Amino acid sequence: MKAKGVIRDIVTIAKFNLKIEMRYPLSYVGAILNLLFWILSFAVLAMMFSTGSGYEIIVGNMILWGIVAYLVFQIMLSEVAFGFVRLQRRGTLEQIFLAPIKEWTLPLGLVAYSLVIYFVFSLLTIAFMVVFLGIPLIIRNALSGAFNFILFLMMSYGFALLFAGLMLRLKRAGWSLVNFIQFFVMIFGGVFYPFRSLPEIVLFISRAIPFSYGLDLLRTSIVDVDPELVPSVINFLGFTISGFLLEELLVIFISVLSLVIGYMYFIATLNDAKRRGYLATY
Amino acid sequence: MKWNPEPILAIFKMRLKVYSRYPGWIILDIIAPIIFSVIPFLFAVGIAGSLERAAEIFGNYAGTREFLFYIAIGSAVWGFSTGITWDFGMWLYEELETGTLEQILLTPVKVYELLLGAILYTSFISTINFFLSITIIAILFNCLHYVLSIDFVLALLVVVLGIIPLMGLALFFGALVLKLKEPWAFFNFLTAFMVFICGVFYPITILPPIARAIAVVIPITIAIADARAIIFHLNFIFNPKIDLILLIVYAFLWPLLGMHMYKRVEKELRQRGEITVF
Repeated sequence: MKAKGVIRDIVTIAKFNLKIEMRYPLSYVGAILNLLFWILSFAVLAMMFSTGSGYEIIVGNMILWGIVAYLVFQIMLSEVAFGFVRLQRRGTLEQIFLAPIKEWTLPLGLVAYSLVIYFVFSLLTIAFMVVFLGIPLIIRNALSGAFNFILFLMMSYGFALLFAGLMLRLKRAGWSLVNFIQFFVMIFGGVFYPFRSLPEIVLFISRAIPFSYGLDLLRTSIVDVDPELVPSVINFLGFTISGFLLEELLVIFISVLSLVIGYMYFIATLNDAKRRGYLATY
Repeated sequence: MKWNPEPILAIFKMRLKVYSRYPGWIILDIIAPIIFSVIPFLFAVGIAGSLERAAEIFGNYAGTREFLFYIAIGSAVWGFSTGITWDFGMWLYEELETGTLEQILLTPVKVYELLLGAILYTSFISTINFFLSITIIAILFNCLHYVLSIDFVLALLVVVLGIIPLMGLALFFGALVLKLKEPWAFFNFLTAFMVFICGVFYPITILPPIARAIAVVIPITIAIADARAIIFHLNFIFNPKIDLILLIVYAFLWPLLGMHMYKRVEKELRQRGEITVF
């Protein structure tokens, strides 16, 4: 009964946001055109630099899944982290938190809503890339890909909660911080290129970002090639494990940890905001 | 029409003061063009298989193997133009959202002076950011010899000439934002469209003729192509004279069009009592 009520609250929040967004179709037309023209720009580059070796198909698929994964990360950050600040800025955040619902259902409702939007945009991205870049879609291990996608969702949600907390504290200054992180991940997270083509110094930074491992595992498991950020085989204290297994364990650890830390920080900030009265002030 | 420099300077200073309070934004504005240069560069290397092969292919299309700095010029000019259009449009939108736009428009100064002050501030900041971004890219990627040349100064003059039509464009798009009240939709479209059509990452000669025809209507296409032509000794869009004439024509045309659009939208909003409605 209790769980049913919570699910109903989450669905209500998601429906509420979807209803509002549906009233502004222009913003979605703008976002779809944004996606289309960015992909067209990269399609022109791909057309220029394609060597006809056949390897481009794998690279193309790595980029395709890279963009799809980045969309999750970006949409979660936009709808959860920026979402709270938007409500704070309009002065409605405090009212919303006075509603008789559990506090943690609000970010989950925002995520549920953003996943609906994400699903549409991912399908469009795949369609645009298949059509404009001429990449045949490769899905060799759907089950493993689906599992790793869930881990990636958890990781992104954890970070979104963490940044939502940070933005409630930092207000306008937080926008630039979250924008910076999005840029940073875009460049060092290997979104638009496979990790193997990166110079050593860039790869060094890529290996320090949790997002990179989530992305690497997700796309290499779907395309069914060896992970790029860890060696294919690892010998440790006489035991031999595959790079894939190591990366899988690492991503499970990061996903759970980021979710726990993100949630704890968000709730702590919320309580602090209530105590010090900055929930309604921007 | 008599201009009073006082309100122009006041709004310029006010906006500069607000901007300087958020150093995070300043850093982001400077590094954005660097990021948008490195991403297509690494993408190209990833597709081509090696840096050497990528440079060779790029040389065949663009006439120069220096493709990182080539893209950097495109990204920096693009960043500079989106900075001008985006910042001005968002300023109008933020004032509308917070309900202060009507108060600002009720101050006893001419609307031209208010808008000019805001646009001058945006252009000033974007120009400084442009210069800093390109210098950092040049230092990071060993292209400083291009920046320290006379050709670069000439290329800068072309870019600066492109500011005037951009101010008009900013006014035009700012008016559209006030009318549509959905700035994100509009700028989402505009920024990506400019990357594709203005040849930010590649020469526009690679685009189909109809896309090229649309591209030359946008002033930054000419600014990007001509700045590259001067620095790398490549072909101009038409030739130096025609390109210059086009930029001068746009410098009159776009501000007039922008002002006309703004006045029309403001009148419409005033009649409907919507200047303060978000």
